[in-house]
Amino acid sequence: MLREWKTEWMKVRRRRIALVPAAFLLFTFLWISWAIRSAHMESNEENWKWLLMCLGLINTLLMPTMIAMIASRLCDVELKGNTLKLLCTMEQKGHLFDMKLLTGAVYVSGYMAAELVMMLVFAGLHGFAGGMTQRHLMCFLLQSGFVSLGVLLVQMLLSLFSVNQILPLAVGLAGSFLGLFSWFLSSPLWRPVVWAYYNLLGYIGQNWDESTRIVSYYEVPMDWSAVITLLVVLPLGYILGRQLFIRRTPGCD
Amino acid sequence: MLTACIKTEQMKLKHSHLWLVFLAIPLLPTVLGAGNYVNNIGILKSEWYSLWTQHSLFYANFFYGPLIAIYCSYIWRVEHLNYNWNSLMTMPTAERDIFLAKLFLALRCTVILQLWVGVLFAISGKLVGLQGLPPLEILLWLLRGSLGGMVTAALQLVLSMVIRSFALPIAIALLGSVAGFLMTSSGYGMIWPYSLMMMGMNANKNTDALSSPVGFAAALCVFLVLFISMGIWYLKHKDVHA
Repeated sequence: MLREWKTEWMKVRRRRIALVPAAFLLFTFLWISWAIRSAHMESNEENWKWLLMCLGLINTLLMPTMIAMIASRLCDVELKGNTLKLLCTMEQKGHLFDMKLLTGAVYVSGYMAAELVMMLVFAGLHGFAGGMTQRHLMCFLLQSGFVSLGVLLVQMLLSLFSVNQILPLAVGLAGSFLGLFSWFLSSPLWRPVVWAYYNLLGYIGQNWDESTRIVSYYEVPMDWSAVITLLVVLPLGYILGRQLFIRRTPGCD
Repeated sequence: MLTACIKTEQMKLKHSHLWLVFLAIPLLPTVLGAGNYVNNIGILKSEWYSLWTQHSLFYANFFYGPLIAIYCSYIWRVEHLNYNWNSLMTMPTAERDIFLAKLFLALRCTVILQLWVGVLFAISGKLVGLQGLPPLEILLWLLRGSLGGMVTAALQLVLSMVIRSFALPIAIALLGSVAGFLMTSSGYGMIWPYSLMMMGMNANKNTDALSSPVGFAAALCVFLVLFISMGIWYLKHKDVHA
């Protein structure tokens, strides 16, 4: 397994994949720096809630496309070189799938960690009152981390099975779209849509007072049915996806 | 020679199923824009214009640019694969014609995409119960948006030519579009190429907010000439990395 893990990282050497999440992170930082100028909050204590809500929305828009890019770049190396057939004579198909997924997960986890650091830096720069609570941290990891892993799984499967990388990237783009709209149109129809879980697992709500133009933020109780659905579907999706890849490895028919 | 190049480029795109993407993705803002309109019908009183604000809100600000980028990336992807750069650069064809032929296809795509969005807008308006037909002004906004889209297409063609990755230029287009939204809100839209399409489309506005049509036209010309020159210069002066 260690050999296969190392091989995956050798394949991405000098491909500068980390530049993609780095650019997205920088952009997110610039966006929230711009957004805070026009944020009218009721009290200083609400700063953290504003930041977490803002990041939840930005992640809904940007992360599906970013993950689609990472998955596409990780899988495209095999498709371009038509290497899967050769690889599968030396490496177990299941392991190959695991390593690809794990490599993608490292990028996503790295991004989440960097986003957490960015939040702390941002809060320090703007003198936010208090700190991030434990609940906020857990909810943030669940909302942005676990949902992103689900999105990564979908994108990885699409990228592995598509010779033409238009499909996975178009799905990533459509996912951004669907996720964004789930914030504005609430409906039970969003439940089967993985990208909508960025919203379904939202933990901060807002009220806008039209007369004073002041927004107040409040804690939203966790949607446990959405959490359980995600925690059940994620491993199930992994098992099914892995089986699918083992049985129908592209280029190995 | 340019006509022959255009025909060749068209042949390269055969069986790519690109049209499916362009057919499907605009359906999402249509359905959801109409849904948003129906949900907020109490405060949205300007009928077709109000529907336009909902329809164009996310489409123009976030997704039109990446859609154009997908097309441009695909146009260059065929050259980046299978050592096709070698074949392309040894053809008895001027570099200018190669770039302009690809640009022509991208420009056609921006116009067709806008017309499709217009058709979807009209259908969604009728489905939500709006009277009459959409105002002609909105058709003008759509076509003006495609003019802005041409600048994005020219820029994306340059990026997709230089960057060998299929995905990276699309990421740049998404970030550029979001930045375009912020630049437009801050009043600097004219100096940012990704803002021009949303300004042209009058995105999320129910009255024409383009204060300076001359400035808009000038920005279009400057950016188009700049990006086309950059593309042709690159093709002429940089060696092939097949």
